[in-house]
Amino acid sequence: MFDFIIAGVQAPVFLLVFVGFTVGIVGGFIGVGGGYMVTPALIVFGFPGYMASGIDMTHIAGKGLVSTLRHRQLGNIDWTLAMSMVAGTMLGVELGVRVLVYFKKLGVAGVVLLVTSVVVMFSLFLYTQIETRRAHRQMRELVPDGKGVGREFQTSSLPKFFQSIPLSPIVRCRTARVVVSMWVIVLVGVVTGFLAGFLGVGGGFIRVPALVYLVGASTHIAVGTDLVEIVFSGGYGALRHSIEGHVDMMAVVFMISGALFGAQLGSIATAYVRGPAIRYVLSYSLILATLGSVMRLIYVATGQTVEWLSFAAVILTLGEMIFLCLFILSLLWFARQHRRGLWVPDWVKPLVIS
Amino acid sequence: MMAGEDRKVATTEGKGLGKVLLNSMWGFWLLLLAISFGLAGVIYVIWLRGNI
Repeated sequence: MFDFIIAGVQAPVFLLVFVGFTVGIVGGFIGVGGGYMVTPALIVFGFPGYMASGIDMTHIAGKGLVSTLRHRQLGNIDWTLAMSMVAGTMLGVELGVRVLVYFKKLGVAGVVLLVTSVVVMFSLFLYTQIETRRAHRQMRELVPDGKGVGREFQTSSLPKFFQSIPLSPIVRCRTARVVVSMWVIVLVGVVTGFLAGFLGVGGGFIRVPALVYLVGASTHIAVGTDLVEIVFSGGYGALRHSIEGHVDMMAVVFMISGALFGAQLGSIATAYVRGPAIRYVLSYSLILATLGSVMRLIYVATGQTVEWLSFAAVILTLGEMIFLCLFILSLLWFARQHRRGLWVPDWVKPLVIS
Repeated sequence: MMAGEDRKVATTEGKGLGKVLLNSMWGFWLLLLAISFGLAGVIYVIWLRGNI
């Protein structure tokens, strides 16, 4: 146990490092900050809600920077796409926050937030899961040994529709190999920024599917490009929280010490897998986060009297991080096995790059 | 059959529960979920039970 003087709580250091490490792997792999996992975990460890949010945002800024640098080395960042999105994202976040303030005045912000987050995350999970399973099935039929396919494979027809919108100016994103109207990118930024601002999250779990299914970027590019956005939003959030005194730097240091290794490992792992593998992990994280929100919603709706729901939420919060981390590490291990010509399960072959 | 081939057969054609779980995606998920929530339970019991 370590005495965090600023936060006024005692918490186990090992768990902070552990959470930083696991969420670092997940964040580097699927391109999210992981606030929807870290903040509930910190609250479980005893940190007050506002402090949990501040510590989380500050650690996301540091971790996002490390992941971004690593993805830059891997060639996964399209700077044209990233910079085109930033303005729209900022506008969207501002709109989202204003709508949230409106609901706060009505006194229904808590329930509306939980219901919206459940609907958004479950919808994203459903679409990502259905599309990825279809892509996985087709890849297994086309190339049972998993060889001779590029690193991306997706079956959605939405990108073709959005890329065919003839509104000037048309932008050529060279790294992403996408030619699309600037307005589509800005609109994606505004919508994802709105949801992020309204739900009070970084928005990576919304932006990555949006970049893949609306703009038409490959999953790897979507992950790297989204991390650039996270550095901006996380950095700004960290600054604001620091000014407000919501950050215990000792907690941040412990979390970052784990996250630095995790973020690099997660980012490097993307070089061993194909797009559908990343989308699978993203969809699992969405459904597990949805279940967590549903439990909190029921807990609130029952007047916070059902104790086992609180316990289940704790187990789900921790179990989710461990599950995603183990799944990513398993894929990495299978990919190495496959490269050496050793046995791997058939379902893994189309997901890893041999 | 050579020793190397023996080893290969042993690692690919087993019918144990572990192999069944590994060979199906659903089975692999269930295996990982069980391990993850088990570990989460252990963490809860050791570090968090008194704090919440």
